[in-house]
Amino acid sequence: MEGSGTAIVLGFCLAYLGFVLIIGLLSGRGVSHSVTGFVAGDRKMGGVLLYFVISAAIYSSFAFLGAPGWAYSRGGAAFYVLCFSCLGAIPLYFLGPRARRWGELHGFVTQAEMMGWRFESRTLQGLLAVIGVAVMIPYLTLQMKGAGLILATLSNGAIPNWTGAALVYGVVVTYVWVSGVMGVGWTNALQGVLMMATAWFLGFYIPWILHGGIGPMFRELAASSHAQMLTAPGLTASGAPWNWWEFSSWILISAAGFSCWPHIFMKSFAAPSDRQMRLTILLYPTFQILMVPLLFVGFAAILAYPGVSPADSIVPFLLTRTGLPLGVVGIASIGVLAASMSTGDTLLHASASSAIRDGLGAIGLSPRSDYTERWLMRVAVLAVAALAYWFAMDSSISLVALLAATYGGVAQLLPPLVAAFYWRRASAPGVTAGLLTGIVVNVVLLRHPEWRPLPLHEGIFGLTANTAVLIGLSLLLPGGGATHRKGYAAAA
Amino acid sequence: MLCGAVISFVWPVHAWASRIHPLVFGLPFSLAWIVFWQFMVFAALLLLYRVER
Repeated sequence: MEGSGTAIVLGFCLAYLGFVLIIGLLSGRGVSHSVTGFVAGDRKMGGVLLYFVISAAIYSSFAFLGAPGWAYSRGGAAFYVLCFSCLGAIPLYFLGPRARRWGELHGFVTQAEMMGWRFESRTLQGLLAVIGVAVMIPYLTLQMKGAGLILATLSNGAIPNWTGAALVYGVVVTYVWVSGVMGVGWTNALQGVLMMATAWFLGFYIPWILHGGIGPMFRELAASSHAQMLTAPGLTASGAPWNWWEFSSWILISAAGFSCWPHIFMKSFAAPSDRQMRLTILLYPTFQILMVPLLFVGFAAILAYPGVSPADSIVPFLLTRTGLPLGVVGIASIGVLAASMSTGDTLLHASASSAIRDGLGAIGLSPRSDYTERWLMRVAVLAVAALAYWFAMDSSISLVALLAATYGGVAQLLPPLVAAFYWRRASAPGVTAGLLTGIVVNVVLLRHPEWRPLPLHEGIFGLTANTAVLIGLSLLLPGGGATHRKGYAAAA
Repeated sequence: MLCGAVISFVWPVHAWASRIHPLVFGLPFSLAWIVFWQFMVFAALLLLYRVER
């Protein structure tokens, strides 16, 4: 792009950031100034907001940068993303309404708090808070890096990574601080619409200008030497054929962890009714299908622009180097920023809320008043943002290693969550020990992949050990937990 | 149908469906297969939602 073109596109981005800030600041006015208002929108978040707060939070900068990059460099391996994102929300259809009922009865606003009550264990609540924050912060860091990268690429380096990330996340911190979950909700609605528009537009436009359409694009690819890239399991990062063991087990693990992510799960507490929660999950595929056009973008570039490296930069490459009209570049850039922000704000809000509610709660230091707690949560928002920003800028910390551990780690939350609602005998020792075992197995096998008995995702072994310990110890050491109480039957 | 979706996405059923031809609406069969099952998951949840009401 020429200098004036760069200025126009950056102008688009700045105008967008300003607009998001205004919406974010105004959106908190309809809810009470309480912790429930700040964290769960007084449990009366409307259907449209709930749909976007969940959907837009799920699709991050990975959807707009990483997934097309996978299609571009690894072909059908990217189908794994479609498969797990289709299956992943299903557990939430069943668990979400049940969690919501408990939340309403007992005033829960976080996942860890609910689990601590169900199993009458502060240790479990604290453990879940630590796990939650530990998996959410690297994820947030990645969103910050994505935002910095896109502004740096668009401006040809005139806006360095650290300035871009600080600018974008300055806006996010401000509206999360002021408006809490409602700020996240309304901005996600705007960002979600932009993401959908961008994905569908690029998905049809790019194949059309490069190949004359989607049908012709796939026919050309099928006739080329890259035909192998059109089928699962596709290729590995190094270009060798991927295997079915890993492809299948990655789908299962990612799908298992999907609805356990604390920032997604806790949105159940914001739903006004069971019906609304179910309807939200039912309608989620209408958003999720945007992954299909995003993969088209990656496929379109295989024959047209071979050899772009790293593969993740294929979308910024297409935007800046291929002479697309400036309006298209501007709108698409906003879409990518929206994807980063709509996930980043939810993570920031959820990890700060959980750190205060569950972290302090577990060590017996729960704030005396609602006012103090809300205030502490805001301070935690600043602290979490600062920590994630520091990680994002310090390249000596290996994010990739941290993130790799999170996927298998989050999946370990599924057996405890299912047991909480569906198995009365599940006890605190069983769940806690199972969770710890699962995570240890996951981390050890991640560091020593050669110890795996089969070439499956390490999370599968963690999940197996986790479930076995959960069931075994619960039978040996039954602890009533909350099952004897009135509230249990009301939900499960 | 929900179980069907899980099974159709992993080996060995997915391996059978993982082919380029026939093209379906211009998409390789492999991709059309996944999109088809996404609609099936939606249909299954819709059915469940109607029944529970």
